[in-house]
Amino acid sequence: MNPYALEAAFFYLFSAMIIGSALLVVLFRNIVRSAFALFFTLFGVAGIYVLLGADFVGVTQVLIYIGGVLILIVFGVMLTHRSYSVDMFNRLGTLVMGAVSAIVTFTIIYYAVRRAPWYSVGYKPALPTTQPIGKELLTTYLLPFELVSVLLVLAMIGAAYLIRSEVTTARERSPITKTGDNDSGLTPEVSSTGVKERGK
Amino acid sequence: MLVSYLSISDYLILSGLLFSIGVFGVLTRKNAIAVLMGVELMLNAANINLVVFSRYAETGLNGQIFALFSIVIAAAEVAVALAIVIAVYKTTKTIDLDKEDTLKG
Repeated sequence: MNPYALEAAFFYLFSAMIIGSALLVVLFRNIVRSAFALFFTLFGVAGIYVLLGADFVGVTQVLIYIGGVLILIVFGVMLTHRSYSVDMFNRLGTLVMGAVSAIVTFTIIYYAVRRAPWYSVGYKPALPTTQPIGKELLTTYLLPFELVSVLLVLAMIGAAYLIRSEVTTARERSPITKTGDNDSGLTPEVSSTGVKERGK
Repeated sequence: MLVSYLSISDYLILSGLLFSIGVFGVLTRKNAIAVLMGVELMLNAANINLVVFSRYAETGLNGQIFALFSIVIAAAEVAVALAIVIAVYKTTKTIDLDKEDTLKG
């Protein structure tokens, strides 16, 4: 079979998967269903990467987006479960304005892409990319590579700081630091409130 | 000689379509996590662009490495954004974006 026809067939298959499930992501009323539709979108994007000869990026997409980001989003949905019943969409006016904005955005992108004189290099064989990417990351891109790992650590510390338990702030607000110069009569009361805060 | 059925513009139009759907989701959703999903769609569209340019240009793997960095930063962004959403939920007991009007003048 003609390999180009095969590539086109897979391209349209993955495109239909991506666009269809992305529409479901933004149209489902139930947010859990949106999360599951997002799974298919991310998987289709990974397929497009592999089709473009980027096997390592495709596997990274599956590992990080589907294995990490999507799981995080599902956890977020479950931790805020009481908002399930919140009406997912704004009023009709906002819906219309959103649709108009999306259509205008797509029209601009479409005409920009169609009119640009793309320079084509023709057929490039799809070689394995993992080894060259590893070499590039540790030579040319060493500084960005280290910076992005520091950024990842900072983001994790920041996320843990943001959702840390309220116990710490409650104890900071309680006058437990002032008990040192007072008499010991206050201490049981303070400790009891501390216990209460912790129990909450 | 074989002629390719696909050109660079096909991939770019696919990513433009995905980006527009993400724009629609971000603008119309009320649930904060659903807005975050729209942002994820837009980020994926940008990543497709990077990989496509890497495929159709002669400059080696630069585009794919940029896409990898972009994926890592998106993971960090999602972690921080979900932490903010959960902190807001713990404070106000809702993630309905229309009701988060504490800073409204």
